[in-house]
Amino acid sequence: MIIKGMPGYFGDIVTYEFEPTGTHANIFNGSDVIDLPAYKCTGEGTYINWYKFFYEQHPELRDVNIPDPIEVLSGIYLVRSTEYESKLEVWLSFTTDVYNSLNGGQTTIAEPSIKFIFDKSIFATPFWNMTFAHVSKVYTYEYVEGVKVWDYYPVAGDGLWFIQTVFTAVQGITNNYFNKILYINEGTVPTDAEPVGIFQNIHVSSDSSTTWYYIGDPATSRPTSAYHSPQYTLTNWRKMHFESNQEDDTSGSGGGGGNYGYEQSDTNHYDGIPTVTPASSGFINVYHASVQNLLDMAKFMYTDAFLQNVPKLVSNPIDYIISLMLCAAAPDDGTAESLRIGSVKNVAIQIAPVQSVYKTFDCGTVNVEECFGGFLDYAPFTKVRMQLPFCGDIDLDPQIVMHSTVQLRYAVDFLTGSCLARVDVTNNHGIAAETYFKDGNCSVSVPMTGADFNSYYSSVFSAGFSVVSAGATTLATGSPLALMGAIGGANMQRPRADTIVTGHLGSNHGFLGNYTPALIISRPVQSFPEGYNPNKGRPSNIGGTLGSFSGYTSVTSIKLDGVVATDAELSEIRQLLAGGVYV
Amino acid sequence: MVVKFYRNKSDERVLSKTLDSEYTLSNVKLLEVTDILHPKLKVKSAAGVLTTYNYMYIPDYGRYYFIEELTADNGYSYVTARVDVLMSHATALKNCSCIAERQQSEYNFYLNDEQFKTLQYDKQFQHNFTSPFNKGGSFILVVQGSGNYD
Repeated sequence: MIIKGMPGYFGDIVTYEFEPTGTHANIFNGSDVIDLPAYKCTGEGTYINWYKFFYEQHPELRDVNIPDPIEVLSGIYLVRSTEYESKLEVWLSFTTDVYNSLNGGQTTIAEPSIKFIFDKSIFATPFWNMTFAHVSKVYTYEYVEGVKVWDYYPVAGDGLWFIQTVFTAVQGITNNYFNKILYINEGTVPTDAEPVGIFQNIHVSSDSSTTWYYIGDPATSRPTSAYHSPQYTLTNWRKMHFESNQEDDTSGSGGGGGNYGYEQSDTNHYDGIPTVTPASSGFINVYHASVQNLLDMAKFMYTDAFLQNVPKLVSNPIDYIISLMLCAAAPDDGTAESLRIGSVKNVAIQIAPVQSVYKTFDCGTVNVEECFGGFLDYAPFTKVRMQLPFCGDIDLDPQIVMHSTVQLRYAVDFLTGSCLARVDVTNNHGIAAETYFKDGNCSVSVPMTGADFNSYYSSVFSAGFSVVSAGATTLATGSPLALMGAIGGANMQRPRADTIVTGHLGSNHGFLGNYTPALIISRPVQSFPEGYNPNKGRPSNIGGTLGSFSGYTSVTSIKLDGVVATDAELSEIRQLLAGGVYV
Repeated sequence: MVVKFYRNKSDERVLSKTLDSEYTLSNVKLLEVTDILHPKLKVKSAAGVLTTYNYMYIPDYGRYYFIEELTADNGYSYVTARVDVLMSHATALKNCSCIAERQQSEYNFYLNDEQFKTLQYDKQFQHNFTSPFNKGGSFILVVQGSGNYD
């Protein structure tokens, strides 16, 4: 028999192999003896997998009460109470000998067991990390020939006694004293761990009183660290449990609280910014310029020092400027260095290079919580909107955002001024549920003007080439002046330099708007009259006998078994119940 | 036929009504052949006695009735009644399995309540993030480069 399970809540799927050992265990459930086959798990077994396995193999055992102790420690019982989110009960049962040794050699105990109830704080850490303070209630029952003879209530030191008891139970896992401590405190699997003891006979109950699920048998596999993972809180166990029990009655008062369609989800992680940028090519230099830098540069570009040194590949110095823009975000500056335009460097102008043309800004998080704790917190009643400067507004789905943490980050491209707002919504399960993106631009292009000598040169050269044949002899002399004279002789137009513009005259409305991103939640205002519940009730969808309800009740469906009435009466009864009656 | 008269102060829709001031009359006769769900009775009683009662029970029929009309004539009272199906079958009804559509105390607030009223205006709550932008702005200059050429 092979099943697949998860060693950890978010872990990979691992194959476990269970094989019958050929042995059986007789379990007394209080009224009957149940014969259970024992299995050996050759994978790294966890109680979750045992549970899944036995649940599949023995569905008839779901409702069987199996309190019988076996060996030193009969089992750990995880009990789902009506407040299973906030309560964990651990039952430890011992054989007579062990119990006697721990309690002064009493001899009349037939079936001792100890029940511990922990408060919610226990779920913050695995129970083996608990302190005495976690034990809120301790009591035992003592039975003589099946009859309870006394109850035992907590006294000072019981917590210590419990720790000692667990410690004793670990005997079956390790023989090393220090490893025991390690195991109890940290859950670290001891190197000398043996496949017996604490993992035996694990039962999980569907309620806190009588119904037990048999989820384990004497384990033959080595306990794993996964067993100790905080991910194995009862809450997560419950998710696993309900995965295969979606057909169960899920009605109940208040919020369901469960994830009945539980499935694994990959986290939607943030990849960061690209590591290679256009500036890496070397064809451009990107600077974070001060106003003085710009003034100095404009002056420098029309000096002989610049004009005589730039390669004459372009006719206008302004062509060396690819762009100049005013950006609403500030880049990370590198160490100030000499301005370099093309191959020309001016040591007199010290300017800060932009370390990376991409930069992300973390704008922080906002927690969104329910206001009403119900349907009013969701669409269409509640609306959630984000105002993203330079990107506009986006509507968020309240269903996704509610009870979540919303994180906002901006990525800015300083080469183009483009920006991308990224909204990550992380739900209360710690899984990134949704990511929203919205693009925009947070820059204004700054126009620059310059004289366009291109027309000058082009007119010169076009005229020159047109007379090249006529001046061939002159060209042969190699005299430029002679060449100009030849060109002039060819009716050359008067040279002129036009004004050109780099960049454009434009606007960015975002610059005129709000610079602070915000999350806007529109919540409804309820009109909740006094006596609403007694007069109208609230949506229920809960099943039960009519007598199990109290007060105003309207029913969608009722089976009128046992009501001896005329047909007219039955019709009237249905009509009245549909309209609402007071039970 | 025995008829027990009561004062019922409970709402008509209450399953188990609170009754008081029981007044029993025997030898009550049906006024005519009548439907047991809507009986009409002829009752001889002291003048004005029945006027304070609005509810009755007929043990022979095992049913409770609302008194709909009460008239008096020549020492007799004439009672027109209508069966109370809820009270009459309350015990059996309470054992019937049902699904509550709306309930006073056992409800799920996450189910949409179409009868619930909200005002036409909302309340808006704003939560600001830290802004990465500044009004001063930064000049970003992009010029031609030349690789590592110095």
